[in-house]
Amino acid sequence: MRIFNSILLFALATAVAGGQDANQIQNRSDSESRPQPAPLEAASNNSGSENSSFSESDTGVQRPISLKNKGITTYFGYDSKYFYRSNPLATDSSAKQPTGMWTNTFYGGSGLGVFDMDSAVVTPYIGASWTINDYAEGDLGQFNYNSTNAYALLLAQYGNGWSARVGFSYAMDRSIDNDTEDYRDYSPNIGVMKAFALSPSTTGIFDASISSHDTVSFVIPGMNAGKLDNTEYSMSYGLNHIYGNFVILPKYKLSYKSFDTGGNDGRNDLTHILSLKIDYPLSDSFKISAFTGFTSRDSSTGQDNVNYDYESYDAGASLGLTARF
Amino acid sequence: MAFLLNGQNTKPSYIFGKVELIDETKLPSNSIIDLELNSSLADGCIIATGKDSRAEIINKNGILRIGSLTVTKWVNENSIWMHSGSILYCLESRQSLNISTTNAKANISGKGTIIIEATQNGGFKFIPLEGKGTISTVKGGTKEIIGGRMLLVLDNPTYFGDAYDIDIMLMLKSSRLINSFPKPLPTFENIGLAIYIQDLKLKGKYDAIIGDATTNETLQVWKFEKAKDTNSKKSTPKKGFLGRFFGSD
Repeated sequence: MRIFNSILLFALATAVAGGQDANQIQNRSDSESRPQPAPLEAASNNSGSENSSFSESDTGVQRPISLKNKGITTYFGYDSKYFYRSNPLATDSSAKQPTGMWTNTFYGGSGLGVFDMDSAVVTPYIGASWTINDYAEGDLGQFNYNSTNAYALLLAQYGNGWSARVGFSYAMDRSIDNDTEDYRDYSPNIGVMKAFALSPSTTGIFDASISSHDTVSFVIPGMNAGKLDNTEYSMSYGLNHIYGNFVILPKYKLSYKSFDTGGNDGRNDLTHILSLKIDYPLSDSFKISAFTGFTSRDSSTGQDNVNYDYESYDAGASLGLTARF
Repeated sequence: MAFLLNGQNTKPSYIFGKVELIDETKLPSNSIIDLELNSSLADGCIIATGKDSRAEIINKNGILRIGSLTVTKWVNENSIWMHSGSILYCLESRQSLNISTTNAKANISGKGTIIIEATQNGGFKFIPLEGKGTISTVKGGTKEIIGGRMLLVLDNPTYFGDAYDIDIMLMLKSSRLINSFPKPLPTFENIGLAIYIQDLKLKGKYDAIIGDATTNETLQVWKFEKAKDTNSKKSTPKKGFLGRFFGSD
């Protein structure tokens, strides 16, 4: 029913949003700036790097803790980011229109239990987020949009440090000015991740995933709405380094996308994303951050013979509130 | 516990400090010798460790680590008796093991990485870092082994005292039975999963440390403060140490 409603909304969107530049919206929708589900972020940021110490007992220090019976957890939070983006429309043209962006994300989710399968611990997750994306500088205000994301995820953690996941994600962008749906993405995905303790204060995190994206994007009527359908293969390696009260998170991600629909048939994208984030936790549930990133996409053209190469820089600051129950 | 029986295959693999082997059949003379690496251990022998001394005994079925200031005896092929101190069992396959102290006894059926600490009341603490199986006592019935859930085993006839969920990560970092041996335990991956489960289920941590069970009714609990400890608690006998230990937590 939700899908059906979404199709109706999309049909309405194509009718009333004709004044927008379809290619620009597609490019933005197609850019590499989508967040990953909160459980994966949490797993990636799990430093496990408390200082080691020893008690005077050979047994060890016995600190009592309080546990939930079934391991059902709920979390929600809020992130606010203000940052410079050099190429918000992900274009290779000279009209890059650098801007300031202000994004506000509200998210929530739940871990639906902890299941000990002897060789692995399996945890199902569901969650959703809603983001207000405002172009705070320049002339891009007409492209302000809201993003909705939802996911269901089954995560299996193995004792050797590897985790495997299978999930399904939904994403949707909606124009604020026109109240039209610009982009929708249904994405089954699988992935693996492994954390490496490189030192007491540094953890390396490798991640690899494959996802299929069944999309509906805003287009000029008559063009193929599934133009952005693709299969994506990605891998990343990041570090989580504790330096005093700071958490330093450099990361490199390599993504390969293969398109096979409409004018994009035959298009392949190779994207490099280099990012650096520095978190400063003020408490268990509140942190401020500074971040910067560079994205470079090298694209082979599809049937429509359009160049989709682009480069973009981001730099900004954020604050985040998180609560877990 | 099969790995502890008469054992040409049961040998010390690591000895640190003063560790003595006592053969009761030879008392009073020639009965106390230094435990030597790769020497065969017979049933009925007693091993005693000095201060800051430890030993590890291996067999194809598992690993036994003996902590400092511990006196322990193998009664027979599936029984061990402890007078004092602490030991760690690392059992990769299911075993049946009888554990007794001066005033309590229990049977373990299962596998896992388990620390046993003798308490002043004659019983013991049963602390599985990870594991599967059950622990049984005459008067207390049978309980499931759950990673990180410490059980007090008390009195004769024996029953279970209170159970406490213990921070496994902190145990892992602070236990010399785990850290003060040259080779890592083969069950480290399982301990990692137990820590992961605990983290997923965690509601909170108490600002307290569990100490000895001096009587069947009394368990020492040391309270500590997260912030720098300027007004020390009377119940904290080593406030300086605890203050440093938990100062940044």
